[in-house]
Amino acid sequence: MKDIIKNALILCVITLIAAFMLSFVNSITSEVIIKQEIAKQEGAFKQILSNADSFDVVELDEENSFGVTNAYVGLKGTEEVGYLYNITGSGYGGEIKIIIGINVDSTIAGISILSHTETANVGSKIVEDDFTSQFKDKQATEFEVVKTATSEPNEIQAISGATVSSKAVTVAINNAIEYYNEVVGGLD
Amino acid sequence: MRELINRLKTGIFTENPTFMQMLGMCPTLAVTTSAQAGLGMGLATTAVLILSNFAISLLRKAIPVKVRIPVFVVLIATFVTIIEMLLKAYVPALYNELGLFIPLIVVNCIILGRAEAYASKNKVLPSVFDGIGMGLGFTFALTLISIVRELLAYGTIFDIKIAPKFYEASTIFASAPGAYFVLGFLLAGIAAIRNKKSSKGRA
Repeated sequence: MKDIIKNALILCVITLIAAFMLSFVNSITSEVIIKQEIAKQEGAFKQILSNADSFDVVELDEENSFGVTNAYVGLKGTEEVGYLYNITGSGYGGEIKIIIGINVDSTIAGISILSHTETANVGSKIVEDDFTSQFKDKQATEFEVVKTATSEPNEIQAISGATVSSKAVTVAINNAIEYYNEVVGGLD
Repeated sequence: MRELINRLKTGIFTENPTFMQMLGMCPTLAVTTSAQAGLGMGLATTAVLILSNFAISLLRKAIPVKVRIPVFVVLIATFVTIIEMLLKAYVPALYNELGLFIPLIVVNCIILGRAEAYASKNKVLPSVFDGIGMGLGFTFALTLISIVRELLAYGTIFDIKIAPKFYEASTIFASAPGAYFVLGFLLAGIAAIRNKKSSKGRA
């Protein structure tokens, strides 16, 4: 019995020391890691939020993230010019990784497809400007996919033969917009 | 001093973890698709080996026999996580290439094997050298395998074009079956050299 307590205490002390070492290294590296993550996506960020000159990570509201995996703010000097969200849609062939940018005036700055596994020449057209530009400059409200020519500003025309892919992107973007409206408090 | 040099020789040649002990086969087969990845994985594992051998040897008298395995695992996992964070922060290209295999260093049997077989029974300095030797042996093996695979699969070594123009790259060597082929032929080659040596010794 005495042995058990002694062994447990030693194990406990060693684990505590390990935890302190980890938190120490983490405190040094976490900021650098965030900078690396931004650097990796900076090209796409700059394309979407062209008037921002630097980007910073915003902490996520984990419980209410609507599927948003990372949130960033675009800054011009110290002024916030827009927000960027990483979100993943589930398409026809697998995950579709998307970045969406929303300006401070709650219009869509642009979207960019980072990666996807949709069918070549059909679903893969989601990366093309013809599709992605449909979101640009519109109010950040819920979008709807239609198969015919659009009549309302919040309607997105599906890519012919790729309704599933088109819908997947739109659903993901709607989720990101919902997150934006909830957290930043855009339109009601 | 002789003992220390001996530790290095043992790790790199006579008890090479990959070619002689056949330990750590999982990363050996999985990450040796390019010379850079093989070398990087080897060096990351070496760093963990040195740190874990050092810490375990230092604490060998304080660690109770009954809980030694959990203590080893906690220490090894801590060092692996530290290396992972450092790579992610300062060498992101290598981190992206190795991906999931960095956290899996925790369960690389070479590391737990050296902790149990050597560091927990020997003084600090020889244990550190044992870590360096075994680590370099592992690095040497991974680099050798990955150089062969990269050359056969893409005609390059460290991304530098080596193969003559008429060579047709065969990407099978970049995939899993290719890893087995290359490892098998290398092991056979090493066995042939050793057999020759030992028969000479007897004669």
